[in-house]
Amino acid sequence: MANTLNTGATALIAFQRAIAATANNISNVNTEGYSRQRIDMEAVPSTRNTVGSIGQGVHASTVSRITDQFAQERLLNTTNEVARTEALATSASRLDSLVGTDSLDLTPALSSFFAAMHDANTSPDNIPARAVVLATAGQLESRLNGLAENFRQEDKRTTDLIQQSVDTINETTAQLAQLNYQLNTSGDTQPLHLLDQRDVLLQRLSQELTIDYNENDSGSIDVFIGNGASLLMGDRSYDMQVDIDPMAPHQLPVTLQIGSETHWIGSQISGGKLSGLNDYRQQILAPAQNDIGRLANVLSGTLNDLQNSGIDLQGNSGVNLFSSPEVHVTADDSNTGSATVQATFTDMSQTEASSYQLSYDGVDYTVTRTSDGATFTGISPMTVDGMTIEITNPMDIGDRFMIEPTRYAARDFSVALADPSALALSSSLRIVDDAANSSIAGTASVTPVDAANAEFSTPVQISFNDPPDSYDVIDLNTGATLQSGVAWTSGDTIDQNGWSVAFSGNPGANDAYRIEPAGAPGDNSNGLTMAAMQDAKLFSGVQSLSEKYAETMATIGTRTLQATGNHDAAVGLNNSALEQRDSVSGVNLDEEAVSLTRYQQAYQASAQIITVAEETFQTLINAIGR
Amino acid sequence: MRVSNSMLARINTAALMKRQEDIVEVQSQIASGIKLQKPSDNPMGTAQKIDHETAIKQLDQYNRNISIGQARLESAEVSISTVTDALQRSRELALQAANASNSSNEHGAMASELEQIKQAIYAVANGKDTSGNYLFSGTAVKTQPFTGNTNVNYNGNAEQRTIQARNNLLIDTSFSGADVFLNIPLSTSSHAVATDPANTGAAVVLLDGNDSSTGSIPYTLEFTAADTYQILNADDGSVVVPPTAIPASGEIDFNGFQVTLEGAPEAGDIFQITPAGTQDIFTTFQNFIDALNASEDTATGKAKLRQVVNETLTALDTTLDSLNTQRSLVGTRLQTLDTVQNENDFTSFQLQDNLSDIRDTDLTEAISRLQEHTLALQVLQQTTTRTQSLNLFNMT
Repeated sequence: MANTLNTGATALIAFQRAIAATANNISNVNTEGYSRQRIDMEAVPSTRNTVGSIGQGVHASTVSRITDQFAQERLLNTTNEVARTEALATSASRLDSLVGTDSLDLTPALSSFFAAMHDANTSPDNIPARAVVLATAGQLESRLNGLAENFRQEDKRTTDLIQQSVDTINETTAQLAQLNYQLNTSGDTQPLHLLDQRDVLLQRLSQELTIDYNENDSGSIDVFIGNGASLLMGDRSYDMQVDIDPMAPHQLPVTLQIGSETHWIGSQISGGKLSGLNDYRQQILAPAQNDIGRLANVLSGTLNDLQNSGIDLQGNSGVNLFSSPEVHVTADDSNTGSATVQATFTDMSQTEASSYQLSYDGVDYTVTRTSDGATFTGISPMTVDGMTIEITNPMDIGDRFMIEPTRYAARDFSVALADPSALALSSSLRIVDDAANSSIAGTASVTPVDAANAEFSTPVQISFNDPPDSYDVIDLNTGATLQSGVAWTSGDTIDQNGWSVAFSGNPGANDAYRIEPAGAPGDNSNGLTMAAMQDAKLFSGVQSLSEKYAETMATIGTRTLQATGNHDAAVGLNNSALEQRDSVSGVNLDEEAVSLTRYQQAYQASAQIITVAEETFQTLINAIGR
Repeated sequence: MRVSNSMLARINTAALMKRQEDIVEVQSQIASGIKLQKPSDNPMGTAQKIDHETAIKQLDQYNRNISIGQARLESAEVSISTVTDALQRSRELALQAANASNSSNEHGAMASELEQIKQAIYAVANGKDTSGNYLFSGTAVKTQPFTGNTNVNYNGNAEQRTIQARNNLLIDTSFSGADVFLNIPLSTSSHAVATDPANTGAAVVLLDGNDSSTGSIPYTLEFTAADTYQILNADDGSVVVPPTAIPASGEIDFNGFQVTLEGAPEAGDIFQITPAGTQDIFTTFQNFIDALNASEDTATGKAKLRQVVNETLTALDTTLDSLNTQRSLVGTRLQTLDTVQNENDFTSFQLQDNLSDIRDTDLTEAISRLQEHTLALQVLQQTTTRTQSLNLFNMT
């Protein structure tokens, strides 16, 4: 009887636990990362008696988490990739929609500017028409500045997101350190919910960056990144910090604090949100920023050059229409040498959309183009991609300079001209046939080559001799003969004082041509050249301004498409990993309902055993007591 | 596969979100009428869109340039045709003046009419276009091209006001007054003949041909007697043709020239045969007017007048030729502009068509897509509520 009673009691206890476990499963149906638990039942060994052995009931031996290590790992990896692609795709899509908005579209501003230029050319003496040119130039300024400001905000936002990510990492490793402590001190029985929590935290961590980890016997873990830098060791976590290295803007701006030492670990971080943000900055944002900057440089540089070679409505030499493009040079804070570096544009069409790093190894200066890692070695002054880099005073070994030709160009782009009449639509020089010329030389034309020449505007006469196979050049101000008896054959050009004269026919004997400063109010020849810059292949001789802009936009579009495509693929893989994990570890309410009913019935039956045992005993007492 | 509740919920949620995203995208394409909303919608299309938009605006601008050029050329054409008409009238007057039956009174009337014509031409030459710029001063549009009354000076320049009509096509839309009114050849020959004011005879000298030797030597045709002539080099006095009897035909040939003599010279009459330069139209008129005013009703006077009339007629004819050349130049340019404008319109139309294909929403397609997505979402919503309410706990 006592046996039966005992057996009943063990069953009651076991099923009570089973019901509790089921209830726990049901209540955690929506808990993130919860792995369903199961009570493992075991029959209590039998005691031998005369009739043989009868079991002594049931025993709820262990509560176990139903997990699959492989599914867990796969989930961790795919989550990491989802986080990386998501950070990249979200940011890229933001930029994509941003540049797609009408208010930032450069096309209408460029078109209007050149259209206004044409209008001014059709009536070059008309001040309102000229004023429209400046107004549309102002539109270009605000569009380019607007783009630059949006790029800057995107850059700042990316840094903010990196900061958030780093905060999450630090918080998570701190929590894991605490968990490790609890796991290490909890003795033999592992608290199951702590393991679930640990897995959730690991998953959260691997969303931010790719990690390696070791699981110890106690269930505690150590976390590493890259080639072994430790984020978590036992109950100690190491904090990461955001710090931008101005000399390596292409690297993830992250340091790791180990003891009193700070290490740049940007290059060791791969995967996860952090790496996605850096990919966005390096593959999409910075190239777009540099491309637009280069566009601004080429636009202002080209038109300024033309302005400077022309004459304005008042007859003065043209001055810059836009602010003059500049190359920004930054010295590393830790430089020890006394070198100063100056960089200037020499050939705008050869510039590249990139930043450059200048370093010194004791022998040569090396300039590294950060966009593709190409290096240029030489001595000062160096010519790299249309820039001249001049180093005064020696650099120390290890000193570095950042050279930024394009990064700030769109931000710094501005209209320098305020007076519409200062637009130099007229050519600076004109050629006048002497009235007494006997022969019609077809047309003689003069082209400015170097408007900066000191004698550029000096009136000069070219007189052909008899026979017209040689010529003299005379300064009309001083009467001095600049050149005498220079041989001339058909097709020759005459170069003097920074201009060049060409003839489409042959001058006759004693023919004379005067080259004088021009500047008629109706002259638009320089303006026509400026307007023609709309179609001119200003970028390495292959692309025009709008074609370059179109390419920049198409690149953003393509990369965004690629990023969202990669993200979709990563989400697909992650879903399958989640399914796999949930399939093993997730709670199914139907299943739990069946278990609940099953355990409830068993519990009721076990209670019945006790009743039966009690009644049997009562029967015996009654029989004896009689 | 074992299905857990969280799986079910997640799959359903993801599907619902995706469908809603699709619907919002189509909806926004329909609402804005634009399917290319951001570069990633179609990166190649984005580049094409920018190229097309730029090209279309540029073509519009070229056509605006063309309209302005056309207006300016048309003004010039009107001016040139006004001058042509005036010259035709002057030519009639010159022919009348050559008629020996007219008296000096009639010549006076002709002179005053010619004076008016000259003033009219002067006004046209100083004409302005609609924006108040001088038409014939080259690029010096604010400078009055012709000043002075009897001696007219040209103050403009020889440069052109040019417009861009298409990529790499520049068309000149202005005329230098120097080309139209100034540098007019005085003669169809290399030389021109002038009567010495002291002549007393009634001879008129007609010149034809070119000097084959040097072309720049001035000659003097002198009648040493009424029937004898000699030709001297006017520069150094050397003899070109020694005194010779005038042939009966009245034709004298020397150095490539053919001189025809009409009327009878007197001994001592001199005709200067000088290299013909160019002369402005106003001087031509002034000389003619002066000759008409100075005309006498004598045989000598009439001969002198006829000599001037000959010169004037030649000058008028070369001027008319030159004006016709300018006029046909205007015509050619206008025609070119017209052709280019049509081409620009056509290209622009094609580009707009392409642009619309790339950029604009195809409503029929978009609406059917929207219906598809909405239907899918409805089905999904219904099945989701069914599957999620389906569990044993709901059976009790």
